[in-house]
Amino acid sequence: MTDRDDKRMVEFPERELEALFAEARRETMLPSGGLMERILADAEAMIDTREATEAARLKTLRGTPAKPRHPLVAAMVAALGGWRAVAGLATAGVAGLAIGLGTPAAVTSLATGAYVSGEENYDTATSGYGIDALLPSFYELAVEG
Amino acid sequence: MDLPLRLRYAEPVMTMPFDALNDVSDEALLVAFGNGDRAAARALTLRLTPRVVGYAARLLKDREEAEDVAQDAMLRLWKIAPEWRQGEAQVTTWLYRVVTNLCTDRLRKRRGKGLDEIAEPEDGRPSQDAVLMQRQRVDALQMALDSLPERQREAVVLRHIEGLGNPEIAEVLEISVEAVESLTARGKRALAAALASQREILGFENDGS
Repeated sequence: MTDRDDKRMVEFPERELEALFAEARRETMLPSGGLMERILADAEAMIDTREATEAARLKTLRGTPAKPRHPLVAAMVAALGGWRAVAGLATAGVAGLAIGLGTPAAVTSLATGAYVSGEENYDTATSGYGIDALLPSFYELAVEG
Repeated sequence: MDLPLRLRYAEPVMTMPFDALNDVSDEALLVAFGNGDRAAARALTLRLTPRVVGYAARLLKDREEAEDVAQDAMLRLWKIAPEWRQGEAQVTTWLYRVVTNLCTDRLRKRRGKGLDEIAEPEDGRPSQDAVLMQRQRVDALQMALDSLPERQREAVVLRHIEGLGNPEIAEVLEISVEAVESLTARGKRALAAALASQREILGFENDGS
């Protein structure tokens, strides 16, 4: 390997090498029309394939009838008002379960009437505030007319 | 660009002139192609094929093989288009890397065959003296390039003929920028050494270029 031979580098100066590179750049091979056509055909084929696949996918999506349900389940869902209603029911059920299991303090105190927070704890039995204190009594409503 | 090709593809699908896409980046065109845009495919083909085939021809010295590599590289580009991750690499950098690897594979396979079987690039030009001299010079440069080790040749061609910057070459060859600098420097020294003996024959002392 003579790549560290600086004397020879001087014998073939940089600018002459540059001139050769420039000539080489001008001589760069150009693609033939046939090549351009083949490449473009590949690209178009790719688009065609993708479009066909997409069309077929959409067709299967639309064409397949909905998965048949058990008639009893379907009837129940329909009776309850469709899947939206069933979803609401399920949510309410889960929330009820969570409240029952977790017994959050707010719910417990409301239920026992100890809804007044503070130092002194009202005893339901002695304070006279029962669960009905949370609701306007029928008679008050009746008086107001 | 050859006219019949453009016309044939221009009529049925093209809604705007090709020039309208000149300002659009390679990457935007590639994404558009990934979404099924045929005009983008045409613009990319016209824009990228000359660079791809020119570089491949420089490495392989065989027109047919260079065209095969170019078609293969572009086919890979078409395939990757829908998953192209924007902003990660330039389209041209990616292509140069693919072409480099494809050419390296071919050159390695070819090595078993022996050099004599490789067709010389044919010369269909008028044999005027000036043209002949230039032809001779370019051939001499090509031969000197061929005598370089693979990586040096790739680096020198990318830097001095394809005109890429060192950071981009580093990405193409998947090496560090320092390694690129070292490769091009060593490559140029080796080229100078290989060409030194032919300096007079190549007419450098006569025309003072």
